[in-house]
Amino acid sequence: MPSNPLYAFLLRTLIWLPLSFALWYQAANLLNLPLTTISKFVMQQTAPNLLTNVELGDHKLTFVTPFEAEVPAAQAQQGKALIIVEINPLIYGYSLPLLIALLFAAEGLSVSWSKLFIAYVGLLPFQAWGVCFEFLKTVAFDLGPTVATQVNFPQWTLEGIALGYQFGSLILPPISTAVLWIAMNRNFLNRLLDRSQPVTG
Amino acid sequence: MFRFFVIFLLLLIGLFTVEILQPVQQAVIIPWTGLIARVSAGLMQLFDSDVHSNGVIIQSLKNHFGVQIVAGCNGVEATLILLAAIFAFPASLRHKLIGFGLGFLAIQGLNLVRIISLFYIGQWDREAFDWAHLYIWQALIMLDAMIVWLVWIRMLPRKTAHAF
Repeated sequence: MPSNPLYAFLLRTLIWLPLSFALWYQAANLLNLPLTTISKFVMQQTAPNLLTNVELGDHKLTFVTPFEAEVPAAQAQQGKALIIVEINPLIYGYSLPLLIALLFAAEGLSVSWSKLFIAYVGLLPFQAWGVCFEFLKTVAFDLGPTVATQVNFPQWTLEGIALGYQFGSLILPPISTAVLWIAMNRNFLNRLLDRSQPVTG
Repeated sequence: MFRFFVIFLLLLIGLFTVEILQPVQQAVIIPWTGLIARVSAGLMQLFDSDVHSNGVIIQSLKNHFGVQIVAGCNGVEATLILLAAIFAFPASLRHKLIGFGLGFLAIQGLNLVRIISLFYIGQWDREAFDWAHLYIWQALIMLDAMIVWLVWIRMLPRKTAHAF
């Protein structure tokens, strides 16, 4: 283990990271269960005309819209079908295994279950932000002119969706991790930053 | 700590909003992203003559596999996070500029490793590419920014070391 406590901390984080990523991916469908409910609730409160249901799939969320699309004549079930939007919520959830690795790197195996629970619950709103804004971005920009005409978002809403989507995918996941870790490890951080004291987990 | 978080978040939101403005994208971000693609391709050409870059796209002439460097892959957001964290922390301007300069190099250096590794992982296995691209490297770049920030704080004069 390096003598510099910061480098030792980095090394411990890198050791914990593969394990936390593996566990996170294995448990992803279970961990995404509350996200399904939160996303459905948020969208039904803010834009009820865009959504009929949110379903949890294998490592994905399926947003069922009320919009219809023509099914090509060549396909067996010719006619109209509801448009669905599939979103990978893990894109916005990698902060959880990172935060767990940071917690274990700081405290070792003495990390409490309550801290892990706070980490999970604390990150859920940020993950929900990313998922909801990706859904809005898809409806507003990616589903084609027919849906865009039906939705008819004003320009300022479109710009707000674009900003919210980019903020939710590029900034919120890393920031939420760092803020939660700092808030939950102030004592460890102070010892880490104080060159006059040894750092223990 | 509360003061730090408020300044940090305000700075970050301001910087990010400026970053996604079209004039800033056109004048700074897109040319920067193109430069990253060229530097990455240049580094790979040292040992792989089949690599070619065009704008923000890096491609293999051997199997035509290509990667496009887009927002989130150019290291700009991690750099902005580090910038906000350093400038929100109480320290002299000189220390902040030195910390940001070295941190910028650390983030962009690791980002080149990320792009080069993803280019070869993608040619090897698509599922591994997705994993590395969407999850692993995102976490590692963030960890890089965080460690740089902690190293910087630890190197500050002792009177500022107990800000939390």
